[in-house]
Amino acid sequence: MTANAWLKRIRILVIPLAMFAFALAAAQEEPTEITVFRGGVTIDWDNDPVILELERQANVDVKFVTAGWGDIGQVRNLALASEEDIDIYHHMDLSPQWIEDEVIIALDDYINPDDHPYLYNLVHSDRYSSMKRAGKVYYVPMVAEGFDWVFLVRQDWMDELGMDYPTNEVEFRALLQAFKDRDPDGRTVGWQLEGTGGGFRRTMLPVFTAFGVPTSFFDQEKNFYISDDGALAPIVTSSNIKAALEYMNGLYADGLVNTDFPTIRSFPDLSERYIQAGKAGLSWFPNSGNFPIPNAELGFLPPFTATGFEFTRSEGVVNNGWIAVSAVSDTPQEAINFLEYLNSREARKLLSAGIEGLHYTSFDENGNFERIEENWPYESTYYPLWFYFGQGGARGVIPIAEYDTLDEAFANVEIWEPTVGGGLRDTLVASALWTGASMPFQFVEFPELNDIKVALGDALLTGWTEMITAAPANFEAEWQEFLDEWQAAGGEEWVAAYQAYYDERMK
Amino acid sequence: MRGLRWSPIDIAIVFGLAVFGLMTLYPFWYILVISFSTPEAYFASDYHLIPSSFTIEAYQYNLENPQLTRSLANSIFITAIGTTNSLIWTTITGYFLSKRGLAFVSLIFTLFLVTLFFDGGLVPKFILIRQLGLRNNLLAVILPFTINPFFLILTKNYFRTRNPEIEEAARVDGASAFTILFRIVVPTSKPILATVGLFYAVQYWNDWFWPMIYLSERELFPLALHLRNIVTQSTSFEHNTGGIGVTSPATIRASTIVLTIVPIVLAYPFVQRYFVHGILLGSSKE
Repeated sequence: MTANAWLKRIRILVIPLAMFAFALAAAQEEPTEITVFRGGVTIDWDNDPVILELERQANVDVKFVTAGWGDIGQVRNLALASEEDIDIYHHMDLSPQWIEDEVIIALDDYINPDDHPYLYNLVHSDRYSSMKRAGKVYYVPMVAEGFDWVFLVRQDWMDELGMDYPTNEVEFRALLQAFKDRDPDGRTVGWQLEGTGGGFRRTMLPVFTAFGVPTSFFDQEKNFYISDDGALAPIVTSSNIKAALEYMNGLYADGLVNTDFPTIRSFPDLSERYIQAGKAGLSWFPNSGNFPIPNAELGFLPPFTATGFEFTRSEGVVNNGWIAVSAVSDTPQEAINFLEYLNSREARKLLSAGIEGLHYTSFDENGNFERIEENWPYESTYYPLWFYFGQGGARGVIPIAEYDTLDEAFANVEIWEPTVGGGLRDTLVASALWTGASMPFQFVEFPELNDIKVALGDALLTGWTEMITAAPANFEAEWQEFLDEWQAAGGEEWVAAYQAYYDERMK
Repeated sequence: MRGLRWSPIDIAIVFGLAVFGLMTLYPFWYILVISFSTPEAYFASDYHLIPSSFTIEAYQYNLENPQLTRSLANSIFITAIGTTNSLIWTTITGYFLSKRGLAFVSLIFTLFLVTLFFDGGLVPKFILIRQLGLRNNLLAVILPFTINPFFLILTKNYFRTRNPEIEEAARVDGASAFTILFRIVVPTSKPILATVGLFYAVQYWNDWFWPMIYLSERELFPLALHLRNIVTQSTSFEHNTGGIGVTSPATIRASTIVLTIVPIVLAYPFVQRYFVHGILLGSSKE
């Protein structure tokens, strides 16, 4: 056989093989299109460098269906009901209807411990077990690292008045009184309470903790004291809460907090208007970051303890909602793979700090990174999709994949901060003094009791507002009325459901 | 000629109207003052009756914001194309329905009236738009709103008040129906067309709901939806996220509101002289 004939044979054999291998490789590299519903997406996702890099790393082509933050529920429901071509839904509520109507799918077959350690550990944790329906997983919790809430105080006023940080409720009241008295025109309040949507409840967390209430600012209906024999008692109707509310009632009656808090509707700027205008000495953390009063020195107030009570840290937040995969998704496995990827270190780094070399130069072991300011095109300190994209919100990484239990993972959350351009590390450090472990019942939801939950929330909002704003002589009557309304709203049934759950799974 | 004498009733009416007028104007003034205020001045005052500072920073920010300019262009497109399209079809249909004795006029008019009371429903409409391939297409917020039955009634009634002799004369001279409509009827129907045109323009300009439903790409958002998003983000977004996000400062929100309402307010003077006349003629049944 001539050399030419050999060559011909080789060509006949090799060329198709090469073409097949090339086609196979090309087919493998074809990115999977994933459509994600997520509120408030403001980036140009077809050209955004972070999304392009994320797509490259995960081998996906991400599209978003988005809505304004005020319209999320309506647009999401419409998309679900009309079977719009969306793979992943963020901001899911827990309506059982989505499962009954088979609008979303069970995820058990798609999540395995080897390929999806983050999701597997999360949805198979003990805390999550109540969320299963007929033993199946339909929702992935949108996990957040916790809390950044702490009292911000006018340090310059304290220095001017020669006052120390209060250690008990009497000194705290004296501090507020001093702030109020230093203003000759009488418009200053000691403490600016927030109002929007019942936000004053979480504004009061530092006072609650002083009175031994380990409350969370989300889902206060799910806060329980657990006695030694395992009996649950709702915290919101406890004597500790009553004492804290009576104390707040006294502050309100003496004009030491802003009396307009029930009518404040816009958060945060209206909520912060007193302290921003120099008319309040104390505020819950004003997160806008714009403190317009020149030369104002601010500090963080350490925790204090009310006489006769034991300081108890508030409960951290670990869940900001739910994620589901739709039944119309052609690629549910890829959707799950993508959700797992979004919680990996490389994805979290990308979504927090951007691209190394383009958006930041170095990343030290404490999570500090050097931002290249001139290349950072976004208005916010963090990348706009750092939260509500695969999880609820962590300014860094929640290492669920690396620990056996959620508690361990939450105890080892890594917070990443840019060294310039703001950041909340100081606040996080200060607030860590106030905030403790996450609420045990954080993931424990009973969709069938949703109406009761809403009614209890309303009773709480109305009752606490009335107790704080009542004439001091009427406080006791208001408290009794609140207890009655709590029961009428289904409080007993609510507690019984959680008691049964606790007895069965957590005791 | 007797001098002007004001009775106590007159004074009370004028006073009442003045108070009502101030109540109407104050929200505009309030927003205008905030839009030109510094953040410090905004936080320092409750009522903003008298401006205590002046800055155009919020406007600069907005005008340099590509989303606002994109949304402005979208709103102009939707309003211009939508109003033109609606006026053409409302005029043609209204003219047809104004003619007594034509076949099916009553039936067709009744069908239009039905849509005033009954609706296909949100989900079916959404599915229809999607199946037509109009999801994330500006035509989705134009075509379904081509004819507003209420404006159609105004137009039809106006045409019925016209003297038919000119049209009959034109017809005798050999003019077709379309020639009569566009050469004779339309040029002499400015009051109703200006009025209905303004109504349509305001409707398209202010609509945020349907764009919210049909458009999910931010590049397509009209100004009203952009405005709604920045207003609502401070009340829901921050609350839900535990305050981890960034909201638009009040001054920027106020300047966006001003920029949103100014174009449509500017349209009023041009049609004002037709407005009352058009409404009165169109709303009466001859």
